[in-house]
Amino acid sequence: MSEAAANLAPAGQVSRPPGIVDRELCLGIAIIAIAILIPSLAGSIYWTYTVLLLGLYVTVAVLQNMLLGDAGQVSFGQGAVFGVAAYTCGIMAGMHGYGFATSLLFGIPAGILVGSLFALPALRVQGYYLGFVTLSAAVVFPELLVAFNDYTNGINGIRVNVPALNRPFFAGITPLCVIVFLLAAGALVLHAWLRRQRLGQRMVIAAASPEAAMTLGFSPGHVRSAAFVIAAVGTAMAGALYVPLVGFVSPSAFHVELSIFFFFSVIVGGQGRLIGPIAGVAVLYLLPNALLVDLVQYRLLGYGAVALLIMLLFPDGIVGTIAKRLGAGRPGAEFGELALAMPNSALATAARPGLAVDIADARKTYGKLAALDGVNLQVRAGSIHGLVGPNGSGKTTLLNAISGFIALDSGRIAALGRDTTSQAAWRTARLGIGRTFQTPRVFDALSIRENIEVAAAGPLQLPEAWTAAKPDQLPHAQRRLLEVLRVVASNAELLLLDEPAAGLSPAERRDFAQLLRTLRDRLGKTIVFVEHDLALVWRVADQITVLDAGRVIADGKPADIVAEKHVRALFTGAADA
Amino acid sequence: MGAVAVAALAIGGPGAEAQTGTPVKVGAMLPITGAGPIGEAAQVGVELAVKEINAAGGIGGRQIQLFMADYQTDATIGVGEAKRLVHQEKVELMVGPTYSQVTLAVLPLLIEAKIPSVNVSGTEKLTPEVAPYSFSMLANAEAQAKKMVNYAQVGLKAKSAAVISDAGAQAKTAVEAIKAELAARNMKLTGVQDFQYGAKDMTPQLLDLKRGNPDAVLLFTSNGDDTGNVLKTLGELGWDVKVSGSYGVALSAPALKIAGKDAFRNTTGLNYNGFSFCQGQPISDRFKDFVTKVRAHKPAAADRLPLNYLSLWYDAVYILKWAVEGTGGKTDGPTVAAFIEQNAGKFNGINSGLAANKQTHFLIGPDALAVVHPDKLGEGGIQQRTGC
Amino acid sequence: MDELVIILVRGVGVGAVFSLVAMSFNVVCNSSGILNFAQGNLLVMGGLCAYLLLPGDPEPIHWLVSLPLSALLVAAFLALQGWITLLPLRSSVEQHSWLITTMAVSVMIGAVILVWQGPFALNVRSPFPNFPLFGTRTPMSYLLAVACAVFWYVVLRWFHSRTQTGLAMSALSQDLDAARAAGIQVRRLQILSFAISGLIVGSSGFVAAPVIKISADSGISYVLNGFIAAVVGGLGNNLGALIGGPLVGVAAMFAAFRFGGQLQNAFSLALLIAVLMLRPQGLFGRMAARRV
Repeated sequence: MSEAAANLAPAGQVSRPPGIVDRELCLGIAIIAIAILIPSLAGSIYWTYTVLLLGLYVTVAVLQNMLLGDAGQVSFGQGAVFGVAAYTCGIMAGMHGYGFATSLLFGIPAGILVGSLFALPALRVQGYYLGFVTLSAAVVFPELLVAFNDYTNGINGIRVNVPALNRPFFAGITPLCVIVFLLAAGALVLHAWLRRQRLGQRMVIAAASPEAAMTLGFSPGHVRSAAFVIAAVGTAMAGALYVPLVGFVSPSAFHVELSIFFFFSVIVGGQGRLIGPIAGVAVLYLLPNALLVDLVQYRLLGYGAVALLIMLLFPDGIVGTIAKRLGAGRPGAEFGELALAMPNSALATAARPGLAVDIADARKTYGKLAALDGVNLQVRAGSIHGLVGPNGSGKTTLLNAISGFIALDSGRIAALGRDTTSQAAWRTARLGIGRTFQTPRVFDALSIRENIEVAAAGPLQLPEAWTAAKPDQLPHAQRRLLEVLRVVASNAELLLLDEPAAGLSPAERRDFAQLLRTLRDRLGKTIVFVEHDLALVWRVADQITVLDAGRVIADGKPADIVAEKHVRALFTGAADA
Repeated sequence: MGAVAVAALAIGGPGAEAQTGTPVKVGAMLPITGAGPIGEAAQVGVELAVKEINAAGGIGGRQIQLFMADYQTDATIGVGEAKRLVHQEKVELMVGPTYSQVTLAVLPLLIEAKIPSVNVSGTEKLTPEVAPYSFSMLANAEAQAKKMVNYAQVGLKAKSAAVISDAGAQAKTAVEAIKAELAARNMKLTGVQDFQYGAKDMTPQLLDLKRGNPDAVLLFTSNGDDTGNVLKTLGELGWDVKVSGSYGVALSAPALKIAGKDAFRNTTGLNYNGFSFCQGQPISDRFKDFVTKVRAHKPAAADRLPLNYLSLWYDAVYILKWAVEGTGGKTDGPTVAAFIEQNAGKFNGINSGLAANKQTHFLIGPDALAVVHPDKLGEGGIQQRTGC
Repeated sequence: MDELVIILVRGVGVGAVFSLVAMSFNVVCNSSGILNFAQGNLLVMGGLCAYLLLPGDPEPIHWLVSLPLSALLVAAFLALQGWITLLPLRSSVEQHSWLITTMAVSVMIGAVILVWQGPFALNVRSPFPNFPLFGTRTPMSYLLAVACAVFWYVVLRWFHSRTQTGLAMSALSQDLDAARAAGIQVRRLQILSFAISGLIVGSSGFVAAPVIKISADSGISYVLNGFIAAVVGGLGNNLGALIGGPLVGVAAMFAAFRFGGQLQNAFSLALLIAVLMLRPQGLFGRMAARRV
């Protein structure tokens, strides 16, 4: 049962009817095909060369888009991956006399190796800091080529002639045209396919919130590494094909600007948009290098001005901004209703006897502040357990301790029959413990459906309207609900909810209380929730624990403890506030 | 426009009838932008030559149509631009590129299309086998290395020397050649250092070399800025050592501004013979003319343009014109190259006495270089030879 | 020993310029999260002002008059650039258009310098004499650059902790939404921060003009070294920038002295990676590297 949540669903299980992405994919492939066909049929050698080079660049940029847009990894070093593959092929074919096909056996793995190495700093630093580390590789790579000139032929470069791939077999179409088309189109298909796979969705989650990733039972580091390796494979293949296309490798071709060019192509095209990189590469390469060439010394000035203008007109990138304008205003009004109806018996878990959570003398201090000061807590399986207390009383800390986000200074925690005291969050999650956060971890890059499916243990019956709709169309309060649904869909047995009802309207609160009862009664879930709305807690909880300053000051059934002094103070305090 | 048409009508001499009217397309590959954008002077040189040739009736009666390509010092762009010039614009003749790695990358294209070209690259790899229809106007690194070491030994009586250069391609070749030449002459090498293009402060490199206490410093630079910064730092460190420098050291206009005249007290460089003089000997009218023409063509920029470098590009266009006319209007690579190989010595340009033949396609031989005092300037910035 | 002292002094001087670029990054970054790629070329623009405003053989009085002029010119330019950069960012700071717009501005500055002044570096003479150090002469501009860095550090510290505007700007760096909710005019403050960064690079480009490379293609190396200095010190932290710059400058000079000039870049980058791996938040940073 809990293993089911951990396993990757086989392809096809996460079904998805053809939507906007597929249309984008077809459009992208068509653009690449036409761009390569027209000049090669017309016999224009210059334009064929240019579009094939762009095809290679598009391949790299599409994977960079996956890396940045989906996995959130800032790499300014993809040009070095490209260059290492190209140079290794060049060295093997041009200096050691191997055939080009043989040289691929060295070049592609070399590129993959370097690209995969970027995953190491990614485990330590993120964002633009990671960008700087990878940028360093891109800066140093051409310098190393020059410094080790005994092995690389130094700055003079290496000439490699691969006539077999450049000989036209029909009109101006060469085998290289076909290969480059397959590679670029393949990169697009891979990206589109990956997005529908569990791995692709996990990339988005790990990028948006490493905590959410751990809650869903996987390690963000593993997912990041996978993204770097996948990007490196395609980038290395593109790099290897640079050799027969250009016929020459030299350090000046793989300078740091190439890496920056790949990154910027993604931004200009529209980060996260499938065909964004095609638009980005076309604008950033064709504009300065083909369309403005006659300006000669004024070329850069024109280029800078046009690039500036494009970004002012299309701040989310060309494709991103257009798509946003076309797709604006799809309402998600019926979400709440549908959300409450979603949990069905398919998500039921077998009732477990005894305690779902057992905490003994939990202590945690931050500096001099005791967040948990000897907390004991028992949660009966199959019950709804409310945690209340003033701000800073340790409620969220307690949830963090149960879900493994913080390690206790001392004390023991058992959850679902296992000792989880010093277990990593994502391992704890795999036991069947789901968690939501005060700020909902909702992924705007995914559709509502995908936001739920990403955690799903098996196929789900979800409303059709959720397939295309994005969560950014939902009111803030309902985003919390979406996160609750995701946890439910993950088939977790124990749900830890942090202020799940904040921002809901009174009517929605009543419905929400009903949802919690359904989860308990029909699906056999155990629910621990932190909530400031005391009326709601008293209405729905089976058992309530009151915390203050890291200690349990009251614990019992709602009716039993309501008369206690501390609890009354809590109510009046809440009324004052 | 009108003037050009009139000029074309007026000339239209014998042998040109068939092709009069169809222009000769000439491509120029220049590094205008990118890392080390040194193409400005080249652009002026080419434009000036084309303007003059067209005004005088073109090449064998055909006007020149010039196509310029900025290859951004990048080989990938260079190959693309060369394909554009060759296959899209269908140029018949080519001048450039400068950067060796770009020249080597585009040569296969030029060979395949049989396009004769004159480049300004200095790598020793440009043999007639690699570049059958291409000739180089740049003094190659090895020729410079020999000349520099020779002067250090004979002129400066040095028994030991240290080498400092930029980290560029030509410099790397030159440093290897310098080491070999020092060994051949039994001179002691006390240290080798290099710096990145455009470095401002060479203190660490020079302090390092100073520890070896050499009799002379061999300085190989590729532009006047670097020369100026090395000499300025040398002065600031108070190290009074004799410097035998390369062609880049003679690009003294910017260097004099940076380091001042006094910094050149102990420094020599290499310049083309045509750009050197001895007091009392007359300077050719041709050269004076050239200076005047450049100033008139580009008054705003004339002062910052290195005339000797500019003249290489100017001559490159004229060499192609001379060779095409010499073969009766042929523009195919084999014919033009054979003509240049046989007649190089007869070319009469700003730089004359060219040395190319079947064995080497370097038009500028070691004998075309003179050791000069870069600070002792004559008219138009020409420099006084040593040992006058 | 003398050699090491000479390298130390000059390395600190070179590094002070990196510090100044790093501080100018920090000012803009703290208020808007934007890293302005044009900052290197704007430093060069400060140098260009010195080239254009100062006569060939300047007197100290020329220098004193032109310095604030140069700072104001660059600040005005940067305010305009900031306004343009922030145009599409009204809705979100998450979106990346600034990467392209700041780079585009940088490219345009370089292109204008190339067309206008040609590809070669412009040379500026200092009105102040070199000062002696172990028998060598060291350009006064190095000392002035260090003084400039300390000056701006003190001014920024005072500004951020003692003035109403500075406090509001510090609030921006903590939490943009909260600042907006508190009624702070975010956009105006952000543009002001661009202008302040302009005062910093404009004045430092001018002061260091004799020892920086003023040319169309030199901006990027100051951006890179400025970034390294900022990140080594801790992005957003001006004390870190003040220390980080000289660290980078001295390390690069020492690398050239000991291992050869070719390895200067590799050495600075190795320093960067070492700091990031061991202490991701930088030497003085408190902000977690993961969060940015």
